Amino acid sequence: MSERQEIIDIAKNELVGIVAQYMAEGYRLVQIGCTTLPDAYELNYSFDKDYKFKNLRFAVNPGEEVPSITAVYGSAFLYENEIHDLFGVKITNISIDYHGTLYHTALKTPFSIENIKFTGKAAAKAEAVKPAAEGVKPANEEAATKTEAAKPAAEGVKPANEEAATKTEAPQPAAEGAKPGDEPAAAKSEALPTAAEGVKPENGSSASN
Amino acid sequence: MAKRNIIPFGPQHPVLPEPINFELVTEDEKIVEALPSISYVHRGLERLVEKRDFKDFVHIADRICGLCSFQHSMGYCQAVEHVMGIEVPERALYLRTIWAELSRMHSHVFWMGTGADAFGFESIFMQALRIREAVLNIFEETTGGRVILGVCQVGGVRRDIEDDTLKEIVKRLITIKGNLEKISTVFYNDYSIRHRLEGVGYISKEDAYTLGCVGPMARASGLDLDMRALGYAAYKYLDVEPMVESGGDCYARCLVRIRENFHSIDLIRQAVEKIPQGPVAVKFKGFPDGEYFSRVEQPRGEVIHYVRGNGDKNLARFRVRVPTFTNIPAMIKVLVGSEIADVPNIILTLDPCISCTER
Repeated sequence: MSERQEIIDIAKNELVGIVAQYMAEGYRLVQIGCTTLPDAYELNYSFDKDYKFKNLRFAVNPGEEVPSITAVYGSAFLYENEIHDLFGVKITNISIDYHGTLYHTALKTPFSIENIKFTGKAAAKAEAVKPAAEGVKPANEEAATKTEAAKPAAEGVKPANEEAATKTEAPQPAAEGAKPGDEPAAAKSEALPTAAEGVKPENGSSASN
Repeated sequence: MAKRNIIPFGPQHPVLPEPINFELVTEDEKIVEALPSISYVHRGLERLVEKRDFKDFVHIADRICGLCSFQHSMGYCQAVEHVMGIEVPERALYLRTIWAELSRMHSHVFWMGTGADAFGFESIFMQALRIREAVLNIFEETTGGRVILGVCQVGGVRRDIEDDTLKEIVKRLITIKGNLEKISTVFYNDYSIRHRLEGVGYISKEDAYTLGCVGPMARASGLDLDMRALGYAAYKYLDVEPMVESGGDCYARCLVRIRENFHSIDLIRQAVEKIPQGPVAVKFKGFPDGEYFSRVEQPRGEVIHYVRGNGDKNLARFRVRVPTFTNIPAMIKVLVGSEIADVPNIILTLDPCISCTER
């Protein structure tokens, strides 16, 4: 099975207009989803008409406000409250606004950029974003920024190496990023891929030196 | 103007042992406003993709809900398979269809029982659970699990069903069909059931569409909306007919589910007749890199599994949009204007699954 799915990139200020047009054309609101990217939140508005699936997509920076579409699709209020409560994206003028009480979670906005742990390519990107966000761009060679980006990753390497030598100490540093209640097995499996990534840039920089 | 009172429904209520709360604002006996609240047992399953790799995660998808467990794992697998471009063997697709339809039956029969219990028909509750037991036995014999099947995997299914067993299942379904017909006649003919459900909790076709209703709730209002028409799994080879009723009330929703039971039996019979020989799973390499919205028709309606991978063994994002979540706005619409005494019936015929909603 491969259903044709259209993903349309739009600008944030076009949203309500396009959604109203879809409403007039007889589309059904299927869902509103949000994805945490290393530097932004990506919102997906899915619509369906006669089994044709369309997606409106745009990204917002943390702290940016998004207009509500509840004036057009009244049923959107649950999705919008969900995105507000779990991701911390500010959505303005929701028809039924729970003001953060739809989801009672131990951690406020558990899906926000600060709380999500990125893996793989996204992790590398997240690390790259952090120094840039600080605004400290060293005027040196690119190698300098590389080592900076590699540092946090390299810190992650140590515990994995130690783990090989002394197994007892390994879970402690690895669990730093994770929640305290995690199984050690899960923590270990997480430590390994980050370690593997951490090694790559470090080797590269040492070779250039 | 009558005095307004606020009456809470749930999170603990005799007819619905699931934690959803509605604050019902009433004037005399009429509801003028309803405000839902959820998140009594929010589990945050979506973020577990950070801890489990994409193959293991099938088991977590399986555990989102007990009644539609198999369809959650199937939807998740379909999404990952699409992202990775895996061709699932035909036999596996047929087996998935058979298990999915059995899950639908098991959910709908269970619903018939709890529904009847709420209208005061306790013996139907017992009989419905006896029929459900026969379906659960089929699950146990073919998969090893009774509720959480754990039989779906990325690239196919874990277990094959032998042809003799398949024929045996069809034979047993004929017996189940006979038993189902017996309890269905009560729903069709009993005066008190009709009296309590007809004309209660009405939602029009237009409202159902704009409020985003899915599943039996949409079909009871005359909307021909059934994701099986997309032709996922083996549905493209079978004659799938959405069970549509035009009543839009609680009674129509009952009829849709009863008719779907019989249709499921028919679909399983068709699938057993057409199932080809061959392997039930394929091997694959690599990690998912891409995104897909997989849409599957569950007992309660369309479920969406959104999967996004970035070439890593852990997915970057997994999202489930469950049918109950999208039916809540319509529930509010139905509740407003109805009598307080009808609320349990209305909520039950909408068949909310809070376990799914609190993923």
